[in-house]
Amino acid sequence: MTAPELPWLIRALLRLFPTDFRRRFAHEIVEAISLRSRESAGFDGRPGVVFWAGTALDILSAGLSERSAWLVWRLAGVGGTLRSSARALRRRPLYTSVAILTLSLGLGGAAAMIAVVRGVVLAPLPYENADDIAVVFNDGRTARPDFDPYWPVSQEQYELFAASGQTVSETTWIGRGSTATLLTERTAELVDAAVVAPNFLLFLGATAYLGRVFTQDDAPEAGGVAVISHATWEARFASDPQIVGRILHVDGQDHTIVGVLDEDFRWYGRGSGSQPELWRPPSPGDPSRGYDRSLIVRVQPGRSLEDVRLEFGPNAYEFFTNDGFKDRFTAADAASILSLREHHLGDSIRRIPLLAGGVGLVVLLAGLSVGLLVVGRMAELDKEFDVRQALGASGLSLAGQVAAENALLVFFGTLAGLGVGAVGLQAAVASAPPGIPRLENAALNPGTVTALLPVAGMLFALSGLLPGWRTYRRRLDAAALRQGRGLTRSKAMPRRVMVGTQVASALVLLLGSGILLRSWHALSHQDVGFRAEGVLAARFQLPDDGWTPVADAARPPSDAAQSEPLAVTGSLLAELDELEARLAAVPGVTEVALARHVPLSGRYGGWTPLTPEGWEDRSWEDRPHGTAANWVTPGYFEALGIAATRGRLLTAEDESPGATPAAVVSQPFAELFWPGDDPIGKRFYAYGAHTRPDRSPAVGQHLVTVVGVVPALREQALQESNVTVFLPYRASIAYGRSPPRDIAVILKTSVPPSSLAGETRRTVSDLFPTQPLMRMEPLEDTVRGWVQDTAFLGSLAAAMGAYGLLLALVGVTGVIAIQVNRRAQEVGIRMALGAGKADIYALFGRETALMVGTGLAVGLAAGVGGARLLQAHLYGVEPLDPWTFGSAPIVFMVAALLVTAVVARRAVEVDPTRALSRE
Amino acid sequence: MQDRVQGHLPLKPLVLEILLSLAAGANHGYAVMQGIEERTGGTVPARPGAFYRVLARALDADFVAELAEPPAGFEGSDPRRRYYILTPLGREVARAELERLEDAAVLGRARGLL
Repeated sequence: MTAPELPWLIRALLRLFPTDFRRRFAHEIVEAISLRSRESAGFDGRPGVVFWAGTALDILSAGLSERSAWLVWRLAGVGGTLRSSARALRRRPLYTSVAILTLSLGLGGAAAMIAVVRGVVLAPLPYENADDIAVVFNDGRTARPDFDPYWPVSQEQYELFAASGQTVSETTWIGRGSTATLLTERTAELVDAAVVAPNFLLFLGATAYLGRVFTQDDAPEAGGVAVISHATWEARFASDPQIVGRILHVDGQDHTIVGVLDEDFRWYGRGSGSQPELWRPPSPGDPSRGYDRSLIVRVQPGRSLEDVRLEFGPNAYEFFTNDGFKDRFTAADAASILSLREHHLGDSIRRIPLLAGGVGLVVLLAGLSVGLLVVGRMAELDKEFDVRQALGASGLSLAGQVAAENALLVFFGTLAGLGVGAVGLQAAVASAPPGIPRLENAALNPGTVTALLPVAGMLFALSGLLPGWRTYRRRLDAAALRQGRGLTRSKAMPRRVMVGTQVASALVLLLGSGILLRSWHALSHQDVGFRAEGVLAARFQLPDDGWTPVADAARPPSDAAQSEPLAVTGSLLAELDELEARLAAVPGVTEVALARHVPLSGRYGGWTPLTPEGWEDRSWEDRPHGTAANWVTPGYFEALGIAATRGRLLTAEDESPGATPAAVVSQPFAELFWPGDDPIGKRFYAYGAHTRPDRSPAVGQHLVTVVGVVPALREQALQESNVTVFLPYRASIAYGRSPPRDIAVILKTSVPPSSLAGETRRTVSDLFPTQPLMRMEPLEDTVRGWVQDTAFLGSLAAAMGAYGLLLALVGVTGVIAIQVNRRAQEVGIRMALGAGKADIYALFGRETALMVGTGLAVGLAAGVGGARLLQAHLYGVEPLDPWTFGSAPIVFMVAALLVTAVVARRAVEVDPTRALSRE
Repeated sequence: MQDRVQGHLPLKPLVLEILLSLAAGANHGYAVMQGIEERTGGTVPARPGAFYRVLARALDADFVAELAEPPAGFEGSDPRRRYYILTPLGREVARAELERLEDAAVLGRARGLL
């Protein structure tokens, strides 16, 4: 009975059956088919196509059904393995919970980190074709190296750019962040507002939740229009469905609300997290603010950001120098061009690699710790497996059990890690310094979980598959050898390498946290030059109608030295007197000051160009820059505890009209203008609004005499003292061409400052009912805000470092404990031969010193490289801080030797005869 | 025994046919297959793939066992052929299934279906 050759298709289809099925029945199936083929043969002696087609279908469906049934059976087998592994883990609650906890800390950190990176960096920007959008600035550094590389552009520049760009298809702009006083029926509130080009919202594809967005058709002369944010609509207007068409009184002008923006519309200034509440196109009544806007362009289809750089890089000079600032921007490459993503992220992006690196080390540490646990568990399992293998279990199934057990650990570790990640993320978002854009996007969503899977998979590969494979190999060996001793010796080696790696990673974390903590300490103990304790500060804007601004034409001609006070109409000065008197009468207030700026509450809005007497002919570049002016009442120095080092402080006399213009300068100011000279009695030009270098400094300015010097102050930034001059507040109203509308109330109190908030608010609103107070907070909080970034990074790094140190020490303990066990006999012999306890401690101490020392050396090398990443976040400490780099390894080594001594005690205290009798 | 039997009911038609065939005595797979096709006129198809799948299940379920040696009357045939025999469990299961079918037939008759 010879079977005719079956068609290849049938033979191929037979392979669909699982192997063991084929082994059992393939021969019979082939025989049956060939017998049947003979029976159904036609006149030519061969079966027809119909027969083969039917047979193929039969084999195909039977093969597939059998295969899937086999798979189901195998899966049931895996299920069984998992169930027995779960039982095995339940029997070892300590091992299981420690492993899951360790994994969850590592994976939780990774989950939170992934959520932040995805939400802040990777999530698509919520605008139409966002990848084609770029933001253009003047590169201020081409004028002076210390200038802002992202200097806004002026209206003239914008118009030039919009008219001539070849590589861009569309342009729009957004004004520098500003505030608006929002006057409703009952209240006046100061809100963050944005003045934007009429096409701004359409450009970004913003849509309205209610009403519409404004467009180019809302021409300025058509009267003011505005849209409000969804959050504002909810919070300030109680989600009023009739909001569209309402008139808002914004900064003295009426604006019609034409729409409410969609809930998810966001715009982030360069690295800023705050959102404007109100958006409006410019209106004719707006004061011109010079360099006041960010230029936003859409790259032409087919062109790249690089093309834009090429067009506006070399030619930027044409665009960015074509006005009164010509001689400022002398280099050809005067434009800074950022992609919208870079623009939104700003400096926040610098924290990401740091955090990711730290989290990566934590994950590595956790993985190694679990790896060490698993190696220990394997040693235990080996004995059990020897028995089971002898009873007939296959090496593969035993390996499967190891893999299943560790898969369960990683699975539950991942679940717990998601919990840890959710909590950690919440804590991190809550304690993160303000100004990280899009942080609200960071969430544990399905995408985050998916991104976490490779990390969990890697941990599973390390802690599940590798030991599983190793078990399989060992079982093969064991089957051949039946003698385990020769193989166990090699196990100590990977353990030591793993612990050494842990030590290295933990040291890197410790070094990072050490440097950051030192920087935090330096920042928080920085002498700011004034006393913030017990001071309450708040700001508001003076009403427009308190005086009549003096027109340029009405000024006296150039004779600046005759400091002729200008007429101030209205009741403003009297009102300020009244305000000071009423605030002073509030119980608990010991000193009242008015000032234009509150210290450390933000930059003073660019520099104020001042020209010392005798420097009139110097070119613009040769004159000092970066000077900041603050206009203050005499109480300012008293309230902030600032004393004069030379001369006197400002007095009420200096504020009175007709007084000789006087100023108090800070020490750096004196050194910059009159190095080596006595600054008292020196004079400089001030009070003019002119900033244009092509004009003589004398035009429209007054000569001011220095009457006193105060120490260096950190008024603008905690990190550097600025070159400050203090001018009398009321005199600035008298002389100022554009009066300082911004005013701050600074109160020195004898009670906790925040307890006076309500009374202060009432007092100010009694006098200025339309002018809301804003940003009221104790000055100490303001100062603390400057430390937040470093504090956040520092405490995060400290937590990571402590976790790393703990895990590494646990690792050291494990390795030494095994050594102590294994060498109990050797220790016994040594002690019997006269070795002292100290010798035994030294024996294990050397072991630790070698293992930890190697890890520390590697960690130090890595730390030297990694510390450079911290540079941008450091203050008052070098990246390679000798204190940190010197002490961290010593602390580490001492801790490792201490735990070694504790573990080695067991070997030392044991009776030598009992140790000798072991095994 | 009764529980073990009841748990397998109802049987797939092809399983019942295999058990019916083997009730006549041990035989090899191809003969069983051919017998079913002939007896049922193709109503219960017994194509090789499907047949051996069902036979494998019947073997796994212990309805059918494989003989180590060819039974009496088959000596000297192709040594690669395998011979299958009905087990006591298979016999019980087949009986239970047939009784179930008989009950159905009685009911059908009472209601005028047959």
